[in-house]
Amino acid sequence: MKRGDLVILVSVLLLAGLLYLPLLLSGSGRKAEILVEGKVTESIDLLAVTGEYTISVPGSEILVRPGEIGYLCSDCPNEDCVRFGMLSRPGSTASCIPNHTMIRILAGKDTDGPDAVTY
Amino acid sequence: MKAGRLSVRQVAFYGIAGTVCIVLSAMESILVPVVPGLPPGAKPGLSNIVIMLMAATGQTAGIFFPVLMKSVFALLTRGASAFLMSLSGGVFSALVMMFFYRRHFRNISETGIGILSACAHNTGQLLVSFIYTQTTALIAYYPVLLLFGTATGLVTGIFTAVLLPRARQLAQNFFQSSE
Repeated sequence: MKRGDLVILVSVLLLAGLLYLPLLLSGSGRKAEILVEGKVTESIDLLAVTGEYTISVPGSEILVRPGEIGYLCSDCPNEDCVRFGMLSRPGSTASCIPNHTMIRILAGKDTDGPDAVTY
Repeated sequence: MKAGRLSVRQVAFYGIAGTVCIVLSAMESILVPVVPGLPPGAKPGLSNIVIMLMAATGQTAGIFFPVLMKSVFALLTRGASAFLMSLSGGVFSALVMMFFYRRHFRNISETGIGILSACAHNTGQLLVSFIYTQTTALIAYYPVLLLFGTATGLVTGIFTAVLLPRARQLAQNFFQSSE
């Protein structure tokens, strides 16, 4: 390993860390959407969910729990969508490309009231 | 190589390289679902070793042949979206490799190029899935991809460095008698 390799390694890791920081600070999200063929078919307020239930979309089952949502199982070959796990942070997504379905949690700003108000 | 024309040996060489790439990535897709804890869509990218070896032994333009062969294989076995993902990743990482192997930076070895090309691969794929799904939220997944790309790039880079002396010899013997 040469010096330039080390520079590359450190700078890529640094970039990843920097990009990850805003996600880490953003806490958990509230509003989740399920998309089929690019269109929103279901919109869920995750904090209002009390029990556990599943939603069927073409090819997959989606599990909804208080504060989180994710693919439960799917008929696609690698079940990559299930590997995304349960989503809770704003901006996070899981998608099942073969079935053209997607789950996303909307970024917090437009779903909450103002953080602070000054006069 | 005369401009725009391939020798018979080059055609044979690229064909073998492409085949090895396809075998390696087919092997990977059997292994990956068995290993727990991998982020979705992540693969070790073993075929990158072959492509890097080609670039390192002077076939910098030829690396696009195995890349294209891999994508066509993805198209035949897994469909159009897999084709686009494979092609975008492959072309991005090939461009990075081509750049570095043509410039010959003294301080950068196979390890560094491996990391950068793996990350370029992931970047290309993310760009295509971004265009495909029109979701800016995919950017949230980028740090994970970069982290994983660094790890796999490091491993494939080290493999390449270990195999390079032998590959150089092989490539030399293969092309020597063609003139």
